[in-house]
Amino acid sequence: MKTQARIGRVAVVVAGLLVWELLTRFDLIDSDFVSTPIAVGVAFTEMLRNSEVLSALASTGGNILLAFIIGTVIGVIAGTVMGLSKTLWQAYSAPLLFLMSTPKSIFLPIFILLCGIGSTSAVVFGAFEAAVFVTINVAAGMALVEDRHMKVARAFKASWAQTILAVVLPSALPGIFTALWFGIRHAFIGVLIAELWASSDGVGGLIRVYAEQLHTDKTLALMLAVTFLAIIAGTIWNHLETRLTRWRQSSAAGAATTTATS
Amino acid sequence: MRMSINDVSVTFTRAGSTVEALKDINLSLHEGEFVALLGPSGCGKSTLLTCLGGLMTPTKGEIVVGDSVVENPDPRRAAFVFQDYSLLPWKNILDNVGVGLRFAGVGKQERRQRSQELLEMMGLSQWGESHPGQLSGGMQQRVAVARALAMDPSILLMDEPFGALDEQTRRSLGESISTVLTQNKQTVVLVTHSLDEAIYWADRVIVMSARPGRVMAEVQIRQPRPRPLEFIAQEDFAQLRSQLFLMLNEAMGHDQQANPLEPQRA
Repeated sequence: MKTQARIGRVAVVVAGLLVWELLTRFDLIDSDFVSTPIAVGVAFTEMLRNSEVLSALASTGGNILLAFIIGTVIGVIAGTVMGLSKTLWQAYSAPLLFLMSTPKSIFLPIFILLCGIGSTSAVVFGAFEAAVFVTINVAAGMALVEDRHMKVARAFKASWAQTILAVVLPSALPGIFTALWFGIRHAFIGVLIAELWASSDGVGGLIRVYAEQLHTDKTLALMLAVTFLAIIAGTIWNHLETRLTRWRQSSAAGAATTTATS
Repeated sequence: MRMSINDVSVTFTRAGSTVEALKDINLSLHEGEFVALLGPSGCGKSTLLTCLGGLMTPTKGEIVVGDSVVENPDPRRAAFVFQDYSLLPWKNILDNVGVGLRFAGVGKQERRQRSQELLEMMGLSQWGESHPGQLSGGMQQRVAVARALAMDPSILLMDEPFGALDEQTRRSLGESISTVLTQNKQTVVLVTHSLDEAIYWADRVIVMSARPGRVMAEVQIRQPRPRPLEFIAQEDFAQLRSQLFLMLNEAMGHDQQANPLEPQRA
């Protein structure tokens, strides 16, 4: 079944590429606007030797990392505090959930006004986007901490720090992992969107420049590269999560974990 | 260590109304004694246990262990075995047994050694590296007993420790733990709603009444501990059982028709 699914998936992609190539070959659609699969492939290999692209990738990667770190630190702290305090959760969960479902790009102009055009607004916007999702997921993760385990910590005289380390964090770990994953994803999205709109450097800026100059092949190749990076990051993350929460597989009582979405 | 419960009352406020959970409890336990608190559900026996371990402060009165008043939990003074085991599922069995020692700052080597000893005592020595999810309920409860005993507590507090287990498991578990506790000369307070459990285990059975929880009566069980399982089939046992049955019936409010065992299963 697995191989069949794989063959089916590849077949659709290959067919799509074939149709695309043929349509442009017979001039049914304009290759200036949509390029061709082969041209994109060529652009992709050329791109890997192009210092402009490589430095853009490095700069965007750095921005994403920075946005992820800032957003996650803020989010973990805010989420922990919210998760531990019922009052704060009641006060701020609704606005946060609202913020989570709103496209945050509508706030981008504010960030550009405050931080100017360039890397800074990309990082700050990415951090903002990440922080919202991390906060909600960490707070939801804290809800996984069971009273009976807290009672054990109290009865066996754990200090505050020991309670956090031995009970709260391990209980909340699945939520925290989900949170960190959302942190990476949204730092990624945030930085790229901000660069697309308001930066001349970085991958986002480059995609905009290529698109405006009708270098469709290069634009698509760059998008392909970004997609690969996202897939690689996701795969690494999955492996890490499986390793660190291994006890869950052996535990019959392992609760369902994944919390908020998108 | 000697424990005395002096004029302890507990009242809760729940949904605007005040509930008297315990009223004027006076009891004293001497060292090495095994006391069972028996009563219908809602008689506050678990609340009393919670107070004995310092997890809750009585509204009135005080609990004195040795020379000091109980105000906070201290597992070296009194360690809990909870009804639902409450092992930490992300830690292996060895680390679960040693969790109290870890909180107390005992070094890793000593902790592991002590935990391993206790697992051997409980017949679980080969399970040290497993996680709680891989163990049956009875095994998990033995781990929970080992976790409490690891603290070498003066008093062991057990809250319906076998409530969630099937009859066969609780019998065999009862016998093995009984032996361990007698060897350790632990003072034990056991909360239960099972007549058989109370009689089989305890030196003294305290019968409590419901709402507000009060001490109704107490019965001494003179059979030396640890007791063989055959004790359950003896004449003395049957007599004690019917005596306690009637007391429990009275504790539930003089209703001759009511079966005192029935509503407690809730």
